[in-house]
Amino acid sequence: MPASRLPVRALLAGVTAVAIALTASACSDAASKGGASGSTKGGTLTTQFAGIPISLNPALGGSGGSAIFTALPYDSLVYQTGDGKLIPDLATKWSFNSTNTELTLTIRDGVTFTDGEKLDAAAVKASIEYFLKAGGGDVRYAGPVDSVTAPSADTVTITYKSPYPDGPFFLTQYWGVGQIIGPKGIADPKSLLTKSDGTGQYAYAASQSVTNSSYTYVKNEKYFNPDAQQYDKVVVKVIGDPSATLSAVTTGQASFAGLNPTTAANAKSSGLKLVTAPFFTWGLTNVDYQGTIAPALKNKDVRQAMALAIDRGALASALGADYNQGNGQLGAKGTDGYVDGYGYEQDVQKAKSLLAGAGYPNGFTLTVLTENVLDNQTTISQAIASDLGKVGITVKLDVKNTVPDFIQASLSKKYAAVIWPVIGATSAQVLANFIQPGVTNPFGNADPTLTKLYADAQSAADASARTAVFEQITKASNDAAWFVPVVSTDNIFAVGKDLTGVTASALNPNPLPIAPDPAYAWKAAK
Amino acid sequence: MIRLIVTRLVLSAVLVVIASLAIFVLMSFVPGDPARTILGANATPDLVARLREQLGLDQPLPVQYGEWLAGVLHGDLGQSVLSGDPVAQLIAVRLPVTLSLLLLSTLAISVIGTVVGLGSAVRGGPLGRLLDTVSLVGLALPSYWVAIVLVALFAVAIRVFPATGYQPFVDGPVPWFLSLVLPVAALSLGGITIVAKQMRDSALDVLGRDYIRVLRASGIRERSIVFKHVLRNAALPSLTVLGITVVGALTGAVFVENVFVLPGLGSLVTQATTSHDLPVVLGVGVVFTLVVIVVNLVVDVLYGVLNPKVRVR
Amino acid sequence: MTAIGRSRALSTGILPRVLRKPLGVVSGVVLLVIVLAVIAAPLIAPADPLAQSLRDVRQGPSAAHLLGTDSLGRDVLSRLLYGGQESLAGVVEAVLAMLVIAVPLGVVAGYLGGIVDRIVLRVVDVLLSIPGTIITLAVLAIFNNSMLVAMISVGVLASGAFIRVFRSVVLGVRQELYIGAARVSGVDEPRIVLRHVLPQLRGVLLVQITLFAAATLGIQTGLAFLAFGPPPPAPTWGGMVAEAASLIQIDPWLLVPTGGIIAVTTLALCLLGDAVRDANQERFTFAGSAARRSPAAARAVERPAAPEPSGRSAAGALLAVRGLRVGFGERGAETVVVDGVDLEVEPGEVVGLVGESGSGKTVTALSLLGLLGANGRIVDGSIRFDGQELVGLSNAKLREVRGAGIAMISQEPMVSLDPSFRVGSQIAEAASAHRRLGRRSARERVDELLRAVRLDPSVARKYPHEISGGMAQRVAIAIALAGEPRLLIADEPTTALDVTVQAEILDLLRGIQQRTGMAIVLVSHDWGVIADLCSRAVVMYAGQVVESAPVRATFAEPRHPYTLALLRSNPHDAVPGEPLPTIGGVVPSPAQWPVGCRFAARCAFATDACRQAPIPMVDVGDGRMSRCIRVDALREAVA
Repeated sequence: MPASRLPVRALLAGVTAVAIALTASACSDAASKGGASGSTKGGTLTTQFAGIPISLNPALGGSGGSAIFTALPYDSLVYQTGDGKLIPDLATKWSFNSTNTELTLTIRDGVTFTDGEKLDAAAVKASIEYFLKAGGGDVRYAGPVDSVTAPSADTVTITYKSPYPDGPFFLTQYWGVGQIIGPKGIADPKSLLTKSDGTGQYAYAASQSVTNSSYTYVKNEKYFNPDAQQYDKVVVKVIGDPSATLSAVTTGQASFAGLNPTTAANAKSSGLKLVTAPFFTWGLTNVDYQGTIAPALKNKDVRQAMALAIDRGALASALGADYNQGNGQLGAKGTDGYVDGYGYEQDVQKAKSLLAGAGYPNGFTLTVLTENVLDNQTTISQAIASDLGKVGITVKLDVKNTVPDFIQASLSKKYAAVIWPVIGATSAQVLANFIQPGVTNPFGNADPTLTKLYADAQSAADASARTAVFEQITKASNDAAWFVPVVSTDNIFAVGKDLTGVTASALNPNPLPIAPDPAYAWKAAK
Repeated sequence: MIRLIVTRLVLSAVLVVIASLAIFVLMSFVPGDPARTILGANATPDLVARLREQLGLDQPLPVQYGEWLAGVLHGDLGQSVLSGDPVAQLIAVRLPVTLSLLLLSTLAISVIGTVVGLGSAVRGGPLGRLLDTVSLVGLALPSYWVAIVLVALFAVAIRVFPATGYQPFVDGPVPWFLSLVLPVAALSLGGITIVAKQMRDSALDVLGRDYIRVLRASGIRERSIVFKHVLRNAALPSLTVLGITVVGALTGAVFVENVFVLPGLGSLVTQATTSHDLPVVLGVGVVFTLVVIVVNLVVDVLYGVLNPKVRVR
Repeated sequence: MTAIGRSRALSTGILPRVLRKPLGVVSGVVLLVIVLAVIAAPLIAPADPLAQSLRDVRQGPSAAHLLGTDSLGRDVLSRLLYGGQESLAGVVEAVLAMLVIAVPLGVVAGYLGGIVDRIVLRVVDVLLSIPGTIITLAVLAIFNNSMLVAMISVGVLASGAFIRVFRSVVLGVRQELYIGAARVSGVDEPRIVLRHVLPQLRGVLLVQITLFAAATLGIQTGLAFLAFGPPPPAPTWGGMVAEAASLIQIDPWLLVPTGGIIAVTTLALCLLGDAVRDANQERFTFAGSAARRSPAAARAVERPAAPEPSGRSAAGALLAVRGLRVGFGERGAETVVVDGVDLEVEPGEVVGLVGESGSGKTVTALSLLGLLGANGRIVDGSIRFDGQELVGLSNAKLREVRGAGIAMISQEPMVSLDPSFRVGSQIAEAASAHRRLGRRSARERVDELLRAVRLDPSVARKYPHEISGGMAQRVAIAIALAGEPRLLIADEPTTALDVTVQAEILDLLRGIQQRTGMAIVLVSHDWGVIADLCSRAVVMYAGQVVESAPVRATFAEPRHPYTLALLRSNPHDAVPGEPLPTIGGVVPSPAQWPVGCRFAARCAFATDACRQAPIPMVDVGDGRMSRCIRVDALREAVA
């Protein structure tokens, strides 16, 4: 993929949303977890990232994988492990009130920022409040925050306007709101672009970095848990071109790199370790759910017929069975709310009869908006179009070449259906893409059943109750067939021989090198 | 000569304004805006509007350009919309990379192109035909294709040179040189063949001139005839071609820097163009314009030095 | 009128000339096949270029897939055929955009000149300085990756360089006579441009188009390689290289057809351009100048078996040439242009070598120094200089003779000096060729030589373009004298000069000859010059010596009809009011040499016997030799 589309990739990483901790099948490059003993410390770790940082200021920077640029120097309140568990970081413990509207966090003692200031509740409050007004693109992930208070020196309370059980999840290292900035940095946000001010394991070294090309972070000697620091230096190289990425990781110029299915096959043949985890759920969203411009889509039977038309297994194997799975429901396998053995499967006969019953025995024509940045080669879009054609729905694909173009086109309300991947660690998180206005809901449609279930999920008392609601959401979503799920695709990473401890899962598909507990950190292989 | 340089400097100021204006006008038509790029898919229109205001994007276009130009006159190229870094600093960090690439390529193109071209003109016969064939193939293969094969051969299969990246000169000339061997090879192959072809044609032309026969008739050594008289006279047309080739290498650098992940101006401007980072595009545009002007000036000055007829004026 | 007619005749026939060049034909055919195949892709492509087939990914070439399949199982050949449409269309767009801008501007600037020319040149300066890459990238961003617009902008940006090329061609054409003739005869300007200027531009246009097309193809595919232009899955040549690149370790084969098609197309364009350029150049040079693209290093002559010396004894001769045969062309199938020449020069003797153009006198002179060029060689005969055999000598050995033994001055003094070096440095170089000279003694030697040719030593600091033709010939003589040669070959040393200057130069040569006692072979067609300087005249015709005699005797009683005819046509002797007598007909070219007397066709005395068999040189008394069997008839006629 083109280097020229780098910023788009960064953007993509920023658009991602990931998962809350529960059970998940983790995929790790090495079984030796927690084996801090014996591994060598020090030296330099070089990793690759495909996009340039959106900003080095965490309040304006990217989320998900692109959070690496700010996660290295800024510790987060909560830490998410590779298999998706949430463990203490700057917050030693946290809890919700019974209505999931008030999150109370206890702040770690004895931590200092690189600017010399001490970390306390006031600093955390200031950082979160700065994030909320800084104007970053990901501000919505902070949730419906009503207020942030610091009742004592080590206690911070976040009050939400409505239940927000995902709060701690969005306070992890992957999200700007959780990355705590020092008071001096907040006082002079511009300084953050050249000098980091966090409590993290590494500090940004502008003098050793080249903007948009390589970013160097040096060990922070003031870090609160020196045991967890594995390297003297971490270098993040920006390499967008897949071939260049492959050469860099096969020749040892980078120890870690993101790949695509094509380069993954190459990397595998040159003996590199691969770490994969499901990431995107691809599907067709009937954004004109109410039939404003495409009356046919108002009919639920029509939408279900579309879902029944897709041959998911064939598409998954066409994309490469190693890194893609056919998926007939909202979330990917491994996410919370995934119902085993459930989901749409291809049934052309039934699809045709549903269409006939709905008054479209000869099908109809539908223009579908898609793009070729994420859907490289538009393989997925073409497969969907071809399968829909088999039940009589003639699809005309309108392909955009950049993500911003796609977003603009979708928001223009000129398309009744779009093909776009969604992400979420729970079915509710995925559902949020459809019930809130945005690129997958430009018409601002609402489905009462789904809206209610979403609210239920937010206020459910405990994890098992929530999971029950998540599963209901999965089924209700398929019944509404607003979103036609098709396939889930993996994030693929190559890990050099000199590196161990890299872990990814459906709940956390974007591995990052650092961890407050050495058990979860990347280490130099012996 | 001094008048030539002064005229060129005045002209270059005009050219910079014209070139930057062209870029500015074009870039302002680019659909989508930087604010949207920065904020991503989920940003509210409100947020986008606020950022546009912060970035000065809500100002009328002539005002934006006027402010930029005023800044340039004060030595301020503005700031990157995306990273907030001063554009001058972004360019300063990356200029050495692109210049290293250009200088080494120019060296390779002129030296190898001359030797090959002169050799094939003087030797003729099978060696000449071999050189012809090689240079034709070199001309025909696209530079990015060559780059890929070079990496596969010399960086991945036999690990002689690094596959990607740049080593600053200050960290030692050897790593610097090694990191540039493959990019320079990819970048200069086409230029070498063009210059070699031109050199061959003009050397053959010179060899057929009367004065070469007179030199031979005077018993001058063949070596001196070839390396002094033929070279000097054939160098003139080749110099013009070399100038065009070096300017072309600036375009090539954009491709090569991307393939080899070199943090130069070419990769900077591709990133900046797609993310609509206008100040950076303008800044690099100005630098590129200046480089072109300098290259043309150097060619003209060298032309004057080599050609006595021009020098007298 | 005739001028116009002739030039039109000259400007026809690029295509036939290109078709005569094997490389031009092959590359043209290859290009045609590629273009047609690409245009006909929907008809001939074996598969849908987008049809994916998971079971057949990354296959090598097979009967089903001639060029194999890619990572999604698509047929590579079909994708190349369809992908070419975009690439070739892009090339056409860029070329058209370039032509639309560059041709009118170039023609107008070159034809009108003046203020228009200056304005256009300023525009060109701007076009050449604008960073094209950035503009092209911006254009791609603006027009949503539209390759069409991008390629048009490439054409527009490149037009600057082509405006210059076309302008200079038109500038040259404008100065030609027939344009002036057309103007005078009242043809209106647009018509002149259309009818007379543009056709002259055609050759250059074709060359530039093919070369620019090749360059554009590189840019177009390069942009596609960087994923600009039509998005995947649409096939593009550059995009396919990018896809192949990411598979290089597991399927290197894919790089071959993808890079190959670009390389072959580019190569075909380049070679076609070369062929067109050569064809175009040929149109403007006279046929038969085969040695134009000549020589590499001066070739050492081959050593053929030297025939026994015949005729006059050569015991005391400084130079003795025997049976010299010189040929040009393919080894073993040479065209012989000098056919058995004998020539002696005594020390201090001045010998005139006389004949019309094409008689072989200059080739004879050049062969004495082994300076025939790569195309020519001595096929037979012997050249002894000062007792040393020169035929077969190595270049290094020959070099020792050149300058120091035998030196040469040539016809065109202005082009016989290297324009890039000062006069003094060229004299000094010649002076140092045979003996080591310090900087100082070299300068003294230069001054001395300049004074010897009656020039002020300050001339040493001048460049050749700063001095007059007469001065240049003096400098050339100084260079020739630098090695203190014992024999000077002067090839028409005064032909290119004004009459007054001619006399000065001849005077100078005579003075030098008398002072140094050096021998001179003076090549000339001018009897006045010969009479002025030489003691003996050797007349050549069609590659042979036809008469050899003391100058005075030659003038008084020519012993060969050709000599007689030559003398009669001498303009110096023309009777005012009467038409200048000329020799009817022309010197036959080597291919047309008859078996018998080569002059017979133009000879008033010729009989059947003359045409039967080769005529030998015969002694006609008084130390004179003639190649004529009708000497008696001639004697009577002259008397």
